Amino acid sequence: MERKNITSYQKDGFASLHPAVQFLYFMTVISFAMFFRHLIFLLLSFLGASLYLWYLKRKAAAAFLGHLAFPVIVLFTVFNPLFSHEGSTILLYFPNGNPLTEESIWFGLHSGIMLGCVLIWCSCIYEIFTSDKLMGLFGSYAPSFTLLISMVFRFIPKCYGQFKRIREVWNAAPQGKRQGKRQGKRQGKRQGKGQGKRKGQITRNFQIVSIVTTWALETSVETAESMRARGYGIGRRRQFQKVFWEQRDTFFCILFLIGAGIELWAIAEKKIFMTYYPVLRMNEMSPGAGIFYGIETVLCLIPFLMGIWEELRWHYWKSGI
Amino acid sequence: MKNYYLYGCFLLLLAYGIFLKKFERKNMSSGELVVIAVMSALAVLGRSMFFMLPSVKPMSAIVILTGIGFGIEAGFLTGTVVAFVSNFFFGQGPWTPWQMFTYGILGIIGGFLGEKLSIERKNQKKEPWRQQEKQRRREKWIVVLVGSLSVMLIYGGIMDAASVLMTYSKWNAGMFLAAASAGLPVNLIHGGSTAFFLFFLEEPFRKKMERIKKKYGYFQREKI
Amino acid sequence: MALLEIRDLTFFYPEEESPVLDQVSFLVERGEFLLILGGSGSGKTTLLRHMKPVLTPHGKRSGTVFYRGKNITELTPREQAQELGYVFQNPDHQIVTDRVWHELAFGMENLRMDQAQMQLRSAEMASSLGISEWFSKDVTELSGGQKQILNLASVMVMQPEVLLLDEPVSQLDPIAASEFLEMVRKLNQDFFVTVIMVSHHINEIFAMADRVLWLDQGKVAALGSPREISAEFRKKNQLPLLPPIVQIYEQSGSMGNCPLTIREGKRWFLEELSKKESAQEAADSYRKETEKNPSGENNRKETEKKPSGENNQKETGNKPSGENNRKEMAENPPEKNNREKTVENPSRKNSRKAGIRNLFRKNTARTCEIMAADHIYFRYQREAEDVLSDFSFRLYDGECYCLLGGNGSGKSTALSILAGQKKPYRGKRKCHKEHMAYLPQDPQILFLKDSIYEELKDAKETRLGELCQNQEGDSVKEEYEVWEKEIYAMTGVEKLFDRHPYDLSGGEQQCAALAKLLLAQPSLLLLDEPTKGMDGMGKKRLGEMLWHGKQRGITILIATHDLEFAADYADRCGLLFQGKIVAENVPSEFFAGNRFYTTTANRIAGECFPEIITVKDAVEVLQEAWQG
Repeated sequence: MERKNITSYQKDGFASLHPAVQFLYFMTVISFAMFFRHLIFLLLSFLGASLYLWYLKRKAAAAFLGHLAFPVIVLFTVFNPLFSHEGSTILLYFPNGNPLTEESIWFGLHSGIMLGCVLIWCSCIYEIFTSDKLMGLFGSYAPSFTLLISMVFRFIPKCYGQFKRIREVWNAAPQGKRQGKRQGKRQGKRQGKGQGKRKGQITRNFQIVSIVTTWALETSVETAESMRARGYGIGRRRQFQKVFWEQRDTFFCILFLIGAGIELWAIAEKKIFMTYYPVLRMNEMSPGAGIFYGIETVLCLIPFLMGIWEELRWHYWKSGI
Repeated sequence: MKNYYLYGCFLLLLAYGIFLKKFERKNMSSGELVVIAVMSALAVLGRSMFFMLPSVKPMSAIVILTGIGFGIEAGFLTGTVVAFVSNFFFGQGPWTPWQMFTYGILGIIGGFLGEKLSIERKNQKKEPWRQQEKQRRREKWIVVLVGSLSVMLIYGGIMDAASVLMTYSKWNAGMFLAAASAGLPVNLIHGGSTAFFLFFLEEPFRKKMERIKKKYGYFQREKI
Repeated sequence: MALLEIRDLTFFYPEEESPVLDQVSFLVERGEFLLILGGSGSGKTTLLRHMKPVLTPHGKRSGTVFYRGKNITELTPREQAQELGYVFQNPDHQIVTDRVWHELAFGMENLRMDQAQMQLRSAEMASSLGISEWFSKDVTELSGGQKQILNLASVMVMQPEVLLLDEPVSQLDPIAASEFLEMVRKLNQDFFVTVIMVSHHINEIFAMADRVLWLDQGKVAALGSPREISAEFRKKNQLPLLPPIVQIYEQSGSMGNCPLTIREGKRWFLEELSKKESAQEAADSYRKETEKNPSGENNRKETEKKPSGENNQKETGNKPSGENNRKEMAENPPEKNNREKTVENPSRKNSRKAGIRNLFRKNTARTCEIMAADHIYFRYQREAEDVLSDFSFRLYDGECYCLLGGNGSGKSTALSILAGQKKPYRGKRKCHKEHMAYLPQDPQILFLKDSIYEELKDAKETRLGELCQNQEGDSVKEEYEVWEKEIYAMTGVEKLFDRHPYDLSGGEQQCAALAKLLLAQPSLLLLDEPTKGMDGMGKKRLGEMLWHGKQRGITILIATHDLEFAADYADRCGLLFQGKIVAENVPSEFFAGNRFYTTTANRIAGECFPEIITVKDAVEVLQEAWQG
């Protein structure tokens, strides 16, 4: 039961931004990927996400891409044309008479890449967006709910530790020689030995779970008392914020919002577009479109570039000393 | 361009917003909050203990039992929290809001079931001991049945539908059917394992929760 | 005006006839350090909770508590939370959130303080109590002592006027406990925080407190400075509640200024001896007497010494702790009888085998070995350091062995390996007895049912089933029933029958767990820190229970850091250090040479009489000296 601590990625330039900025960034990038329906944009986003994941996890990132993202892409590329028969370019007919269309393959590919891209972004979030950040972010709007989450995080390792302790004590007792193994033993006699043993094992495991539950519920009373003793329930809480809004957050936010705004405008004004059905259509490759692609590239590569920049700077500092 | 996934997400967010607002205003007592946290922690632990067996999750069983024991609201809250928190260990993704929602629904179903059973119990209070025992057994089977069915149909159904909506902005009934049939084994395992866990955990959990409720007077106002 | 005034407080728990608190009245001045003492069930915690209205239990009540002249129940919730800080017993259960910084801020969040103020206060607290290093850690990474310090800090950030501590160190190891108490003392002395503490861990606190309040069955039995109060305890025969040094002083019946610390105690002891100008003589005569009964080649000196001790005891007429035990033991030396019985008893299969083995191993004397560990190595993770390395150990039939050791020396690990819960990665563990029972540190985890009665019934039936399987007939059953009665009488568990295990106090839980284990008729009992969180009376009771068990042929192995307890009840002690046993002997020899790692009595008197290790020994030698 390992959970990432806040210190893990503090050195990363992007991960040390204010959580709200990170949240805004990820939400925007993901919704662009999901709703823009433009293959080139999608591929750029995919590239940015993959590079950042590689920056964060190195070898593990490659494994993630190979084992999860690419199978998803392939699966959905195949899946869509099997069920969707829209589109005008018919390649061939299935045995049941339904057509296989070129558009549906393209759309399937798009959907697959989209899902893969979202998955990669999500695992980047998973890497750097610790529960602390989330709690800090929502703490001011929903302090009680954040408290609840924080308590759950407190209780998970606590209960797990207790579970391990109990299991040790209970499992060490030789079979049938002490309390609680009665059922297992009796059944062991009536039925075949092995079967009874396994059944006894199951009952014992449920007994352990039962003990942990009692323990957790009963001792939670003391936790509740300790909360009351420290003034819980007086009124609305105010979450203590450990991170503060810095100047560079503002700076980052402004630049990012400008970039995202331009992209949105471009999509809304159909400067950039792509349709799959009934025919595959896309905007022409003009210098104007190139600018938009460029902006999208920059947007998606921001976390990666910031990370690399930070790393380079440290490198040169070190050599400067 | 109709994007149902977007609408769905939007609706969910709205629902959570309203729920959170209500929750914040209510100022739950410390004891109830802790108890919910404990149940959620146990559920998350349950999920992580069986992580090598996909879809064998005692989590759903515990959420349903919490609903039965502590009422609708507690059930929903536990379900939501459990889905949210467990994904910190297993990976957040676009499925998180949907999982939060469906687990919440499971909690609500548990809550309704619990209320129904307690009303029934009240009506037939003066029965001999043997009869009570029989009643208990009947209740257990009802819980197991309703629980596993709702896991299979409601949880499985919503999650399968959501996975289609998530990926394709254009779909048809065939896709849903395909997704459902692809998800069928998973849902069957999930439902079956939930039945198994409910069968074994129903009694101990009920006893413990009853005791806590009675001893400290938690979750009393929800009683009708 | 006193800060707190308790006036005629009487309190009944619902549905109970006798009051928990009976006409309790006292004043607490600002900046005072008040220690509340009392046996279990004397209402200490109930009293403490009356000083914090949100924690006050439900029940019938008369009398009032005033805080700064105002009825304490009229304080606003905010004032209450701010002015009265409360720290609970268990370091784990009172932590609410997952991170240290969040826990520290929790109280302030409830008070809705400004961000800047929260920042400042938590910084202030973290730096002054030394938390800064683990400020952003996960709570689970902390040790028990650190957790309790965190709890203290997270109460202190609200800057309370009064600090109420409910047995704050009873779950901690000695070193963490001292550290915590030192912190409390600092808060009291340097920051003028009024401290009211309930505690069993009195060795250090007793000297620290300004005044001591003794609650006996809900009544104030005595209230005064530590020096004044000890005589009252002697009158009521409750001396074990006090630190050993005070016990020695009171039991020996001397007059003058009661010593509170070891330093004072030693000074006093030496003075007393030199006053009579017979220190050396007394020492000589004492030694002679012990040598009159020459102990065998084996290390059984401890018990053989007893008869000589008994003569002196009769003259004093003052019955100190554990004396009954000793007397009985002296009258029929338990080890010998026991050992012979076990060897002769044919029903014990292993002992015969062991007997044959013993023919070849003369220096293990008459005892047969029932557990052996050879060169055991153990570590928790592959890359971690060894907890046990080259750990070798022998346990003989019918003895009570205390495994001693400091913090993190691996006592508990060793015990759980010996119990077969953990597997060593190298080395061998052999156990010649099948029936082993293990009492963990928190006995709660042995309970499964909804009442103690069901719990015990379960254990009973299991054992009966086993017995009947081997032998048919009612005689087995009858024999077993006698055993059952004995256990009930011994542990006093009968009055707890219809209670839920979690409604019991810590001591009662332990009794019930012990009863449950003993019902299975184990021949070997392993206990992990059994005296944790117990007061002197509780330890005495536990010691007696164990002694009774030993009388019935149960071998006992205890892992503990309670030296006084080991000195009182062990047959042999072993010191575990760096994963192996570095010293092993009978208690009198074991502690004799030590200057630091030894009991209070030995620290005071050990210079002249190295054999003296228990309170009783010290008292005896003093009285002998006085008689000339």
